[in-house]
Amino acid sequence: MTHARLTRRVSAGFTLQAEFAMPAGVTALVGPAGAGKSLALELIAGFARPDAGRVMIDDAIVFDGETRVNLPPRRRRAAHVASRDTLFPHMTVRENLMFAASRRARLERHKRVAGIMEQFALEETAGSRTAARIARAILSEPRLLLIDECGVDEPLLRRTMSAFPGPVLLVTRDLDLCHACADEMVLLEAGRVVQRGATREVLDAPESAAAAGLLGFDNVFAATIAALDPGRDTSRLECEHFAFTGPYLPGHFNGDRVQVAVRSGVLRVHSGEIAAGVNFVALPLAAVSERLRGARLSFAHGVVAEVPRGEWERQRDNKSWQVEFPPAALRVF
Amino acid sequence: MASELRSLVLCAFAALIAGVAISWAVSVWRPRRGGFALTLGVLLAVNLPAVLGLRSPVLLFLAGLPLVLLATAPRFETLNREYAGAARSLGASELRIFLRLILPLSWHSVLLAYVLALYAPFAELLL
Repeated sequence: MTHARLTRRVSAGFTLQAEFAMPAGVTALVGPAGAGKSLALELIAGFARPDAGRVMIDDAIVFDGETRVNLPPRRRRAAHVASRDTLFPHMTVRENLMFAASRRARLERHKRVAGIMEQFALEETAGSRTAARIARAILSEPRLLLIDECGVDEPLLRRTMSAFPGPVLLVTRDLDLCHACADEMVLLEAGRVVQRGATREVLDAPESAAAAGLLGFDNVFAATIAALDPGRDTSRLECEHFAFTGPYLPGHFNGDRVQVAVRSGVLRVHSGEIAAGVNFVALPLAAVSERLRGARLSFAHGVVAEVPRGEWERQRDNKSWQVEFPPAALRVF
Repeated sequence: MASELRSLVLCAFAALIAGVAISWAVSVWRPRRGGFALTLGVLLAVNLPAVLGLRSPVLLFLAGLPLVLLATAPRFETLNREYAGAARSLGASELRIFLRLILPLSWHSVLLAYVLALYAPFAELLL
């Protein structure tokens, strides 16, 4: 088992206090800048000392605040890939890899280095430096791979997973990458874990406004449950300025104060002239930002919708607007 | 004169070895307190024999020491921050890190330190 429970006071206003397990496969550590993601990695790697807690790597306790166990980084077998370029500059890529594989006898070392260079498409001088650093980390035969935010893309992460079967803790802000590759997800904000669990469940069902914000739910509204109908699997949610029909909400009661979150990408916009359907809300358009993938429309009361380019071209001359909130896309917590 | 020169070269070399060792140790363990005391101690150690009017190879050694520290400490500090952590998490020992990474990446600082250690006794008007 690989598991970390960390407490570290950084300043009067910021204390990292996090606990999470790292099963085999990729665990994504997601959070805004300054949430303590890199610090968590450094504490696990042993570069900094937690004030309390326990770090267990592959059933070996490498740090324990109570019994004062604190193994140095080189005995932890947790290879750390920093966010900056740490390839040793006076060595070629191959020499860097050889340095990491030094546990092995010479012939075996050459074989392993050649194998991994092929696997990661590395060359003596060219090739991705991030890939080289990850390959170097894997060659040191770690029990846990810690990858800080360093521009890992999906092909590289897939290669990493096929070359290294153990647990990988990956710091990233790329939710698409998480969805595609990560098995587990830990959301960190201001030093606290706001949610953790299986990636798709976390991505699909945020449990708090903080988690929703990190997961790209850019519409979050406070609401009151006005009606619940288990028979028709519907509910009625009243926000300050509008009301929705949502799915039935087990475990909630009429009159509960809840939050409703929805991603901007799933909202649809319509002209104000057409007949209103389910969850159509007439709203004035406040601002438009035309982006690469589509237009980001900001409506009154903080409603944000993202529509594809073609759709925006077709509708840009609308005189009034309706925003459709598809009931199945509403997340309530 | 020849014997004086020879003892200068040797003492400067001794200062170089000791200074590099201290400098690397300080950049790795980074004493939280005591940095000031260390500096003061080195300065006193250097000047005390001269104040007392001693003349010996120890003097040459002590004159070179702080310059070696000055020349190597910033470079070691940087290298320790940038690369040593990565090497440690790859399982490399401190000695291996020093010999394979730190020395090859800071040989110009070390060379400068040696030149300064040779030059120091002249600056201090000891010779």
